[in-house]
Amino acid sequence: MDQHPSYSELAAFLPNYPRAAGALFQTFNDLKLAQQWTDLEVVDLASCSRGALRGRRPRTEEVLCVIPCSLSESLSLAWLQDAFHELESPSQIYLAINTEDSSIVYYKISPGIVKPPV
Amino acid sequence: MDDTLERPTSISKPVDLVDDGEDEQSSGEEDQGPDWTKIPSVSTARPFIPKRGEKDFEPTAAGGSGLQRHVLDRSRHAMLEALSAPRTISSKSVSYAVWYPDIARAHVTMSRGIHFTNMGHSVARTTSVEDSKKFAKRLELLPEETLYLVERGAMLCWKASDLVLTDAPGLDDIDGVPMTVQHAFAEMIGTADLTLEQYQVFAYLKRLGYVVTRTKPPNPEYPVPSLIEPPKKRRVLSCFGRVLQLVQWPLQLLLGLVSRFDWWRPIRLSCLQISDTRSLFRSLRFLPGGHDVPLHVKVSPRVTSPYEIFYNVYKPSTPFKKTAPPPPDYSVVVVNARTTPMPTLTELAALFGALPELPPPLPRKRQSFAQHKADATAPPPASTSQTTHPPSSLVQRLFPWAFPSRASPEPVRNANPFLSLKTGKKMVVIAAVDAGMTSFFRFGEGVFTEWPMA
Amino acid sequence: MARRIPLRVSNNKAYVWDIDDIAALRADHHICGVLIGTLPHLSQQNVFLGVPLLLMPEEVVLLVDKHLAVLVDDPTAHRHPSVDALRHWNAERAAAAKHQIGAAETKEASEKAAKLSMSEEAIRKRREREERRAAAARAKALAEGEDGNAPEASGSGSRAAPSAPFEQRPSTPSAQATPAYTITLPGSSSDLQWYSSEGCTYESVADAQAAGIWTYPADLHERAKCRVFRDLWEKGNFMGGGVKFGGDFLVYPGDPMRYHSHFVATVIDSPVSTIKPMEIVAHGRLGTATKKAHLFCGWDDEKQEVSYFSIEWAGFG
Repeated sequence: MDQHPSYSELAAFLPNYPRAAGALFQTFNDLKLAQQWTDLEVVDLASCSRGALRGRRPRTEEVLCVIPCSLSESLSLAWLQDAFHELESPSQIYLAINTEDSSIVYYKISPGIVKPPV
Repeated sequence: MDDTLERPTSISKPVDLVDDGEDEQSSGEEDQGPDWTKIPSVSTARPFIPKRGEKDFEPTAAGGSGLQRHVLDRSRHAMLEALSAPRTISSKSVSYAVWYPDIARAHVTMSRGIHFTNMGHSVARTTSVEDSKKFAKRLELLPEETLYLVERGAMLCWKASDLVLTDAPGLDDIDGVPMTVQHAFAEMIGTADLTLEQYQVFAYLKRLGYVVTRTKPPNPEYPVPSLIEPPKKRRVLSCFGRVLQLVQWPLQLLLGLVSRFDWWRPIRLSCLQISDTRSLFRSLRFLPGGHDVPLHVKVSPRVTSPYEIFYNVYKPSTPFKKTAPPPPDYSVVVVNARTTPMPTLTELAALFGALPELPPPLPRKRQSFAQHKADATAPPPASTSQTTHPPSSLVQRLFPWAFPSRASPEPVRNANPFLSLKTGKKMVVIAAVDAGMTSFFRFGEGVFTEWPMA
Repeated sequence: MARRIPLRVSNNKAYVWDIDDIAALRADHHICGVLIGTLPHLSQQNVFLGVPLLLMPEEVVLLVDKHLAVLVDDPTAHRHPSVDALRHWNAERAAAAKHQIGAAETKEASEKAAKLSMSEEAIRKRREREERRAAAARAKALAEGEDGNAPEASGSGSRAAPSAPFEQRPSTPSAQATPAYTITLPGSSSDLQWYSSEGCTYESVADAQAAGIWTYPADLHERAKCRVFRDLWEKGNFMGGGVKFGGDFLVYPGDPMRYHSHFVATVIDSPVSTIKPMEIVAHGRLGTATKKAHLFCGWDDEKQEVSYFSIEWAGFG
């Protein structure tokens, strides 16, 4: 992992949260290299014992928050609540669910009752 | 792989569960109620099933716009109108029965109409008529049969009463307390092991024309299908037997391996010749597989499993003789979706253990329009014959490599295994009922071990 | 204070049998329930179903807690009728039959008389005349805004009815000589003389539970479902069962008759209950495929409040 070109940007967070390191590393690379996100940065998310990501989708202005997790973790509503709180209450977060074969699915989670688009 | 299906926005094709049931269940928009404004009026001679109507995304203002309110009022009015229609029947076609709460059966005193060709069974009961005991056969209905005939307005049911009615003037023509449909629901559900969920499934299938009988006879006189081909009896093992078997099969396996296996040349067994890839793969399969191998699941089985076959169901087209019913087309389990978890492997195995093997499925008759067109232009397939294996003994299945593979003359490549694998050799329908809504699920026991791996 | 709707409870299920009650529940209280009965005149399909209306247990608890409905022990409310009550019921039945037979026989008799008195030619002329008259009557009725089918029998009746010998034994097979008439089989019990909810009506869920006719809610999960249901209902939503979409409820912005649901809701018993990411994927994906968002509804039993999270597919990745 430490030989990877992305490592330097993540080096501060990967050793802090070894259990979440894999998901963060995979998600960072996916957003940066496959999804072509810009201004990607890692932020500390101590309440969830991991690093989270902030960045912009290509050709958009809005800064989005992404929380990486692994498919085998156990989450809870309190966990989500804490994450929103620590990230200063964004209107939504994206949960990046990492599987063992390194594929990732993203789901948008919004606090409250938010209607689907028409 | 079907890449488009991996996007959450794509909608997978719905699968019919009870194959010739109504299409109504397969709609992806199941949150719609029916459009009551399209209900055929009472006077329409031949009822037709209209399509569901269009709906809006949401009310535009508080309480909806004027148009939205108008349309909603019209729908509600149509629904209430339809619900108010009385249960009317000609005095020449109505049937009569007397409900005996103590035995949870209704005695049919006057049977009219086609319903009784597949409902009710005859039971000998002793009746005391004027101080002399009489032993006579009579037609009796189970609670679900009684309730169904009452609620569809085909039968008037009396509740047996202690009042001596024959002596009272003006009451000589009634056999008890007349039961409303409401009274019948309150009295009959909960008797003879009938839950509301089971009744709902019964009524649902009856409305579609299926013949529905109980799998477990509620009384000895109840006719059940004669077992032409009794299902292979699963050995009921005692504790000791179980232990013995656990020890036995790896031992046998080991012995088999030691005596026949050359570890340095695993696929060159002395007793068989490898002629093609198929027999090569067969020879590599040295762990026992298939459904004859007992489960090695260490779970304490629930005291009583809710997963028990409750109904035998016959298609409307199946010739049905009430006194000698044929083997059922479907076996249906009914569970309360609110309180019942998914079936466990043990529960499924127990269900399939009680079911007979089905013949291989016929190629699909129903095809999409596009497929039809393709078939019309393409030459007919050269061979539609399925590769079927003659039944092999348990030993043969456990140690396939120990037996020379039978050379199959038919071309293996042509057989499409997917339909057979999907359907399986055994099939059970599980109806999950949640507060009035019924979903049917078909579980098939797939037979992957019996199909060529290459 | 509005009338409380009686919910008829048997076998731990609550039904509504009277059409007015079904209408009031829907229009006034936004409670839909599920129709589960066979419609007598459309008895060979499952799209349109009839009474009874079965309520979800959460609907029942809400209605009773809000003092909008009461629970009636239905098996008990069906009393043993007195001989007099039965005699009254039977007399009404006989009268209805007699009335119909009388009307039918009058019609038959008049037709017979007409047949005997006229030659075939006369019959033809008469029929033409009658058809003209009927058409004129229909046109007149239409002009007056009445239903065009109503005055159909106008040509035949209006003569004194001969009192027919009437043998009234419909329950015995020997009485086949009786002319056919229409029987109306009773649906709801409300009109029966021997139906009375007095002494078996419960105004609170606790009372009904104590009486042993109702159990819901019995544990934390059921309590959480009741409170989430109530919270969403109080926000003005219509609610339905969510089993077809893998959730606990469907949440509609208006009457489900006219609007699609926006949400599939699942109830999570407590803030610390485990949620597996796979559930998020499964719910999120199904919701997106059906143009709905998924709603996680968390119940906090300590704070006595509900919190929500909406889930959708992100649209990338």
